[in-house]
Amino acid sequence: MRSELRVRGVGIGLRAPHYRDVLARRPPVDWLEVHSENYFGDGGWDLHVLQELRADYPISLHGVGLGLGSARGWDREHLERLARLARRVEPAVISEHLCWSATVERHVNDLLPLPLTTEALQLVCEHTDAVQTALGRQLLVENVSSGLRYRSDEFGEAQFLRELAARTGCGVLLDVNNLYVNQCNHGESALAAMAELDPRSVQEIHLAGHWVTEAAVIDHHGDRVAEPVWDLYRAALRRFGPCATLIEWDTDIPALDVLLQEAEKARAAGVTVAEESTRAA
Amino acid sequence: MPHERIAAARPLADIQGLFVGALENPARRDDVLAHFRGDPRLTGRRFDLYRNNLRGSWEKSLAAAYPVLQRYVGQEFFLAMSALYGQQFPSTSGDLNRFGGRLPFFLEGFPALSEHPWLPDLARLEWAVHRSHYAADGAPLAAGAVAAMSEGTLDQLAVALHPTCSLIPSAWDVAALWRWHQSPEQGPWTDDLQRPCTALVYRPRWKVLVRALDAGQAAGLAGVAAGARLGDALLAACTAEPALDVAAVFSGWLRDGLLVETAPAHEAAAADR
Repeated sequence: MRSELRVRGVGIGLRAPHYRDVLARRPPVDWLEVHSENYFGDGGWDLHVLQELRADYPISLHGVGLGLGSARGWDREHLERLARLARRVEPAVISEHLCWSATVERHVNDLLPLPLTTEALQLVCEHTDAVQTALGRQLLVENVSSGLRYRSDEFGEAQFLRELAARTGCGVLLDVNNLYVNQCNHGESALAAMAELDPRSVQEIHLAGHWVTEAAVIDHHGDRVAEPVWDLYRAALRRFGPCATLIEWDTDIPALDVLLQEAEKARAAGVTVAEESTRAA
Repeated sequence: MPHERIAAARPLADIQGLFVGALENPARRDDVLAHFRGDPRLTGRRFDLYRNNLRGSWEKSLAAAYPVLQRYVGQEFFLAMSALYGQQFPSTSGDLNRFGGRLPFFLEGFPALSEHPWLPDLARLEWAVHRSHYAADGAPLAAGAVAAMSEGTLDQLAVALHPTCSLIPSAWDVAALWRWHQSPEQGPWTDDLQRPCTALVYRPRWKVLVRALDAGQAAGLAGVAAGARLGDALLAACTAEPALDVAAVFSGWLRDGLLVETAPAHEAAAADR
């Protein structure tokens, strides 16, 4: 499964405020990630920019709206739009989140925490199978941050993801910041979560900033990656080996150079860990 | 919207129903808090973060589609209005860019803005601009192709508005209001808007533009939108405004990329014979 990996190195999230800068400068990053839903239109400027850049960068389509764990079932129209976009962009990677987002009456357009139960696992497996069948390729599924855990939980999130990957052949997109946020919010060990995952399944890592509030730590994607998250990132590289890594920034988006600096830090962390392992060998 | 049914998903569906119910109505929060681990005083505050996210996403996506309306009513009012709209017209798609489509309808029945009766049409115009931004790029009918056609072929040509184009007829000059917003340095809006207007939304390349049409062009393009043959559409334009320079108007439509051909030219030629 690992051999299918087609993004490598360090990428950044491409967001509209950076379009002109990225088009003009073609910054030295290894790949670009976009939120799939922002390119669901029939045409227009956003899609045009993506079409231009895909000639120079591998693209990762990262979905935020499919709701793999919504009990109402899945939205065929949404999946068809994603499949259409995939045909247009020929992305290197397609990913989604381990969450739910809608009932029959209402879409919440958020990554809501899922009860980690056998029933939910069955549902998410069926849904993931359907998505992989519709797309004709592997999906990566990302762990989410949460302020809430359910009494009915039968699994930890990492255990749930391990089972999901084993049953469906999906890959795991490991958000290290989300692991840290959940460690703060629920006292769950991020290192223990990493130890639960099958290293062969982890194909991409996300890094982002978070926001510490009195009630909870929130993954607002609006700041530099925090120091304890860099520590966990190095731990993740030691466990999972060199892994495609994304710098995400979605609120209070700064100048492109700030993202590039963060990408450089991620690259440097990769070099450090690789040197460690060479010395150890 | 078609959804596959998962027969075995009852308890999960119940919890998700309680979760959404409590997002909609704070009075129902305790029903869902019972399902979370931890002190309800803390989980309650954390649950409220999800409600704030929801409201924030409504405002953000509406503000992206309706910047003129937001400026007109002010940010604070817009936030409160977004919360009411989101309650009454729930998002039904995982794509938030589609969330605001029913705002014109909402505004028609919104008493707080009843003294601003042009706002539903302004909202229609802004939604058309929003849709145009994401509309298909396809090549419009070009002057070169037209030059090669006989007069008879041209007269019978089946045309339609380009997917990036739309017409917003209104009893008020909402196009002027839209243009006012494009110059942020201008002072507050003072005009009374009491002029009927047909606004044209079009996108020559990537940037969406709006302009008010004179009566002749409005009638002509309305004909095109209704499926009239090109000759009949231009005739409608001349009837509405006899002094119209029809050749200049038509070449303007071509220059701005307003038209697409809906049937191949040889079929139109056959119809001509």
